[in-house]
Amino acid sequence: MSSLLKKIPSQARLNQAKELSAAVFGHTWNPACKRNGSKILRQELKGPQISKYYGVNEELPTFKDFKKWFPELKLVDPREEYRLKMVQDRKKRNKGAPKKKSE
Amino acid sequence: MPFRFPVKFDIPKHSFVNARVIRDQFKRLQYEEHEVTRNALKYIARNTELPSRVRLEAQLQLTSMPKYTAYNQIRDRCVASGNSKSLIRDFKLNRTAFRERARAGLIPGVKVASW
Repeated sequence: MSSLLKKIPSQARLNQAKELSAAVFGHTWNPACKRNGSKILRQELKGPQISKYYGVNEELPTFKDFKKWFPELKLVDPREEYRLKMVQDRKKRNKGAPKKKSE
Repeated sequence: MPFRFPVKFDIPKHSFVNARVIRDQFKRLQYEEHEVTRNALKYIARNTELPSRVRLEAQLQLTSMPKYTAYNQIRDRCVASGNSKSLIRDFKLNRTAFRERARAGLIPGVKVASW
């Protein structure tokens, strides 16, 4: 007498169904978990983010730009002034940069 | 003075600049430029469904690319001092640069902990 309950389909048959389902719904079917490199293609490009690390030059004007745009204002960068003063002070104490070698 | 890099590029204006920062910036720009090529080669090399000859060829091409186009050559540096050691990533600052700024109250939301 045959049972009312159907037999469970074989593993191969189940896999076939799964493959078909993946094809229909656009999923990937990779039962053996083979490395197919899709991981690399899926990644977002990180170049644009990385090249911005030290700031984007065009984003903001610098002090030098302002000096160039408004020469009549005679702007002085206090940080640059301080640096030059330090250079002079060091020179006075004979701690400056060495002289260029002459031929 | 000659420009001592294989490709001409803009030197960062809004950050502390020294030779090492410039070198790092160069690598960053090169990485950005070659990223797609590198990824394509990497994809071929890593794909086990392709013939091994092709994969080997791709791997060789990848290794023959200049080293400055590789991601692992890039090192984050302090934007205030150019230092690369004890960098606090969230602020892009070296620990001393961070401390000075934090104590001067220049970093919003940062204050000395005390309890």
